[in-house]
Amino acid sequence: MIKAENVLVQFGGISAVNHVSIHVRKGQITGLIGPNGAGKTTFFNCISGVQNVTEGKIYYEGRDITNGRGFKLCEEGIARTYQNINLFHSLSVLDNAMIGKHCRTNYGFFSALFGTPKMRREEEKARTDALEKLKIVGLEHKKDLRAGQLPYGEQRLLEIARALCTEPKVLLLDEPAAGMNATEKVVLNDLIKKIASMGITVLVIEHDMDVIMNISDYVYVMNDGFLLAEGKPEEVQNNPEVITAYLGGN
Amino acid sequence: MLKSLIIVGLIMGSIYGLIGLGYSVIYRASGIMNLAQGELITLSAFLGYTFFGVCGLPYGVALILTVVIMFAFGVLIQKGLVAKYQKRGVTGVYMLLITFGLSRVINGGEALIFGSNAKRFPSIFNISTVNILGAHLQPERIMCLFLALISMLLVHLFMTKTKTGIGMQACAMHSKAAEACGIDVVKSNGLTWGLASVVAAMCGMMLGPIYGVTLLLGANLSQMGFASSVAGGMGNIYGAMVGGIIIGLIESLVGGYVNSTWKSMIAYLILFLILAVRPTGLFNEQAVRDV
Amino acid sequence: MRENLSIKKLNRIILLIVGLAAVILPLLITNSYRLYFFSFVGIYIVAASGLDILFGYAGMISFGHIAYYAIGAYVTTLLTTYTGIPVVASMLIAAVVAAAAGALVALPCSKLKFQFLALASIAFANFIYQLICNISFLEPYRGLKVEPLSIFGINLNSNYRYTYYFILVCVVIALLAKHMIVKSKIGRAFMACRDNTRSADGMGINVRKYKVMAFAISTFYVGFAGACAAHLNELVVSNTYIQSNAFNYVIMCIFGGVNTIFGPVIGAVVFQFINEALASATAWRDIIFGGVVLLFIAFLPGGCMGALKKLEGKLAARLNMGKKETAAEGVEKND
Repeated sequence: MIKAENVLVQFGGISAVNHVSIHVRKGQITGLIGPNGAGKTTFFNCISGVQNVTEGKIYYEGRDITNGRGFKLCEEGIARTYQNINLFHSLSVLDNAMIGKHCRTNYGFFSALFGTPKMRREEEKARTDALEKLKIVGLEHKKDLRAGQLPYGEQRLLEIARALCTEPKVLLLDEPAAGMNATEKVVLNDLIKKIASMGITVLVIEHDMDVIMNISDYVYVMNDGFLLAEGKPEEVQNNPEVITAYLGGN
Repeated sequence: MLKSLIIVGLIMGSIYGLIGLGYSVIYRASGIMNLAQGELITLSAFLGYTFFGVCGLPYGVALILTVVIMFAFGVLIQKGLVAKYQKRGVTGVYMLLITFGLSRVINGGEALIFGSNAKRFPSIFNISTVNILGAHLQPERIMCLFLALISMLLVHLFMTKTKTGIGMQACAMHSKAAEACGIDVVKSNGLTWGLASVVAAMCGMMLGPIYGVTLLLGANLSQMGFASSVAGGMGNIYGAMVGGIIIGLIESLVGGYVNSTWKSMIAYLILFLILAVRPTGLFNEQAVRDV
Repeated sequence: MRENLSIKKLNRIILLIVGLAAVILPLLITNSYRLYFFSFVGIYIVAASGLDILFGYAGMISFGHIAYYAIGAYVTTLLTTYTGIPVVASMLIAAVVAAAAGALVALPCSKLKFQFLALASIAFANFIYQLICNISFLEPYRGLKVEPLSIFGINLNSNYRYTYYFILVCVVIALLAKHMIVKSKIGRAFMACRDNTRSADGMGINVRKYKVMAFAISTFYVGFAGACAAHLNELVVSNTYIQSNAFNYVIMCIFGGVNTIFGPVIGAVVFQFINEALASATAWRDIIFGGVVLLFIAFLPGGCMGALKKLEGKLAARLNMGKKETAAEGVEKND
């Protein structure tokens, strides 16, 4: 589904991501783990079009999407959440989700101006679908609150709902469990599995080993910008290099 | 012709640069673009006129008095207004609007206190013109050049050689880190506004004798100062000077060779084009892009 | 649910009363200057609403909207004088030209951070003003005569009551159009760009495109207002278009409340009244408007509309009390 080959990202001579290649397989949950500062988020930003790569190629469904623009990639079916929550804080929960529907709502300026039947139809469709996505993450009853008023854990869930609204084929989750307590993490695990069961390919970044080992089908480990190991969760878990990186890193 | 135009351009440029310096100092320290800077200049010119023209004090004494008062006024603005708003969480574009509101209030206050009629700032020197390389110049203009250069030098020395100035630079770069190093950020912010007001006071004292003291003095000229600080790279205090000289020269040459009524139009066009094409200015220090 | 309905009903009633008052108002006035004054209020409502689309919804500031007001005015003046096309058509063309100018300015400038955007807008407005002053056939100082406002060859300015109704219709259309735009996906995209450009981009919104669009829509409004004002005054003079007049629209928005449909309306009305009352005391006018900006940002960042909404919220909470205690608690907890 997504194939990254030899991705190199340099910031003024320092390599944040050093020749990393990964392969996200269709329908699977792929994990990307590593200690803080391993370059996971930077790598993520390359895939979602926020960060340009210095070298290397990224393919999506066989097409070259290297250094693509964020909004175009979203239209093509790559959606993401952010490590530092990036919600539209002054807007309602429902509006946040509706903005996720933006590129799937099909009407132009003049339809909006004159309130044509097409516009109403599309808006109604977007609204029902947004509500449905909010239901999946369990925020339906809070749809009229402002996003900024939600507690931290729910803001993360709203980010996921908003990303789901873009009807992605691939969902990139950047540390979805950060700042969540144990019960919230369990809910999140179930949610991610549910998303995968909907036929959406998931790539998830975590530095929390437990979360990722529970849900992933395949795991990549990054450390200091390099790819350290890859394999099935249990293989990776027993990899001595990974253990040193984690114990040494922490 | 060319030589005298260049001299006039250099003099105007140094004044614009000094006005621009006032903007740059505050922008660099706090990321605030101070739209009230022009009114501070107007206020200084009115104060200078009062001390020099009305009270009859010597020019030097009037200058020092104005500088001291303006310094206190600048610190007061920061402590009494800007810091209060920052505490309330006002940021971004609303901070810009605060400085705009402040400029209106100061302007209205000036009109109430000093009246809305233009005041003639008495000449400082007895001679009416000085001839330098074929350019007939008011001696006040030459004094401006020197005062501008001296002010620049003093600001430079203050920022790089004194402990307070270095502290202010540190605050501008990273206020939290500066605080951790034991620098009094609150005091430093106050000083920054004080310094910017002192620069405004110098500008007011120089521009008053040249243009006469009117309510629009600062508003009109400060936009050229703005232009120079942007041309030189907003936040770069040396860039403001270079930018000022460039704008001054362009204005003077356009005025001399093309059409004197076009000169401010061209200056604004250049400012607009710089912002559109190269918003970081000549010496870009800070990213100014949003997307 | 029923309580919410009654609040909605209350809003409708208020709106109806205000609307009726606006319709009846000119029938009670015979003084033609007053009618002219109220017509002008309408023009300012259109302009302030336009700025609000840019500032309140899309989060971009402009201190130079007077430039588009000038473009609208001069384009329609030249068109009606030299081609003789109907005034209303020419006003619309002028607004389109202003919108095109706005879009052209926004193409490079929408990339700028707000301080620099503000500065660029100031520079542009000053440039346009100086340009007008330097074109001699525009008679910048004496003023250029403009055809009176007319539809189907009927001169509306012969009785300012007609002018007033014409502008009232324009205001209603402008507000309706604004309502339709901001409630649609386009309005949501504007607000997304305002709140967080990065995640707007991630959500499939072409940030540049929508910023330029917001600029164009906003300048269309202002351009139309400018054209309207030119035909109302039957004269265009350069000093109407000095850059500092652009701040007036900003003050109106802040005063009335940004990000609302009726905020700029309130702002424009109150601004014009204060402006008129203090026409001879310019110093006090400056102090009051400056003070309004300072005080509103500190204590009423939502402007008058924000205050009204808060009041309404309290009213709704009171109505809800007793019946739906749990719901009210929920609201308070999250506030």
